[in-house]
Amino acid sequence: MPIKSTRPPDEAKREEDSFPIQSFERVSVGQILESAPDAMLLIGEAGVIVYLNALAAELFGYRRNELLGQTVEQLVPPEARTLHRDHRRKYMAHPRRRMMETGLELYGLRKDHTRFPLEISLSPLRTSGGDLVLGAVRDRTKKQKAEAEIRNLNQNLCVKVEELDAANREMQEFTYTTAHDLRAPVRHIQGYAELLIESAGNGLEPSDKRNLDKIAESAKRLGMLIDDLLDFSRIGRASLHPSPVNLPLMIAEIHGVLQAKFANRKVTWKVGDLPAIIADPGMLRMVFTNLLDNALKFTQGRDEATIEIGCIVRDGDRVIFVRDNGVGFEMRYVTKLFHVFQRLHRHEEFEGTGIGLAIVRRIIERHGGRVWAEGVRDAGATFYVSLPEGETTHDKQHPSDLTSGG
Amino acid sequence: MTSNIRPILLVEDDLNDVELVTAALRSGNLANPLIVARDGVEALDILSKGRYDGLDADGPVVVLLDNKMPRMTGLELLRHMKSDERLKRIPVVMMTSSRAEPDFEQAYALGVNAYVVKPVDFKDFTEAVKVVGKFWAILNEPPRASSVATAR
Repeated sequence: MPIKSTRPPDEAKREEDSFPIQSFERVSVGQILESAPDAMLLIGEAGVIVYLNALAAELFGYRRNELLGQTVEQLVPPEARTLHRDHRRKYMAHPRRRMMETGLELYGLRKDHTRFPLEISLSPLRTSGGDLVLGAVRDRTKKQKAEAEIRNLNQNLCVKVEELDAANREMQEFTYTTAHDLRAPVRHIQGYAELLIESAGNGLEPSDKRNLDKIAESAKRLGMLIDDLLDFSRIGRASLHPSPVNLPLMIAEIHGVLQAKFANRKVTWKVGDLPAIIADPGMLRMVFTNLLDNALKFTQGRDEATIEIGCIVRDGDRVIFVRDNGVGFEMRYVTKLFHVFQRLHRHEEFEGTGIGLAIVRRIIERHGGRVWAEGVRDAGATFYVSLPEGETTHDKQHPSDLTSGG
Repeated sequence: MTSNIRPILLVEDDLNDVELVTAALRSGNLANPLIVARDGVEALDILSKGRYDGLDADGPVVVLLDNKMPRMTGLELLRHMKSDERLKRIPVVMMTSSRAEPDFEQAYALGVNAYVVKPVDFKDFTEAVKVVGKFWAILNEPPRASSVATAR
């Protein structure tokens, strides 16, 4: 049985000259069509329905024998019948397999005159008794609803994304202008305090002088915080201009700038081989200025500070590291390091705004890279920077940027 | 009443800033009188009239220009000045709170002579004002009286 039932219908029908089906072979074809998961219709020339399975009858709301011998246009809404007839004739002239199409808005007409969206696939069937077309029909009602729902949800999502984008932009703008507007009054507080210290400083009681100094100092610190916040905000908004960076030269320049900070200290610098990399030079300079400044800052209690800059390969990635023998940190706090205003030390111990490493992280992440740290309390810290080689930065690169060096 | 020393024109809407710039210039021992305009419109009026409240002097040695001001911003004034034959040679130094790069780039594109972000620290601020003031004052040291006349 299974062998017979799997015989292709056209082979089975070769010797037929008329319907309805009678022989055993023919019955098995009927069984195949009957067990098909879709509504199946067999249409003869002139559009006459020569066979339909139970699902097809049910789909259109007829009893099977009500449709046998009728033209298929009976299942088509009246306004589409002429067009359908034309299409059918053209199809019979050039029959070919046509898969389910969802692009077309086709409708079927039920016996009760209600209509429903459908999709249909057609395959021609050449028989000695004439050309037939086998049609598989599916009700699209649920699918159409689902599609509409998806479209709707998608649209809502697009709107939400846009709203979110706008809100985000507005928020950034707000942060930026607010921070910006705070600069002036802070400057003024600091300025007037300094003027007062200058003019009355010597005549003041020591405690008053101290309080006045505190005012000036706090205003200055607030100003630094605002400036760092502005930097942090700017880094998120500014466009990247990547170009080849001469890293050894950049490190040497930063070393020169920072020199004043450790003039009276014993600091050993070890600079290993550093790769040529492609990144935004200005932003990369901020990264290494921050990392080296930190290394200097957190080794300030050491009799001899050692700061090492080099490059290793880890898991196939090129990783640049900055290592120091300073106060280090406990690894359980490592996640706090790279967040805005997170500090692991008291302000009296080490000055700073707590934004530096957040800036580092933001810059490296904007380059598609990664930054992480390893530390041991009282035994130093190592910061690792891994930048993608090429692709990510190349995408955003203008050819003209290649000519300007880091 | 009459002075041959050319003034410095400060265009600044914030009176606190006016006062602090004045203090900074004073601590730099600059002899140049300070003229203050409170926005771009006022500055343009002063500049195009060529008269400075009784001062019988030539144009300012330098214009110190804030950006965010009512009526006419610093950048707008800068554009006006640089497109005016009589005013385009007056040195302009933007002294502003804005650290925004577009402002910075626009200012240089418009031909500003220097762009200074007002430092939050007053000592740095004083230093910046002194340096800017001195630089332009010395660069524009009044020539001999005769050549002033011919220059006009």
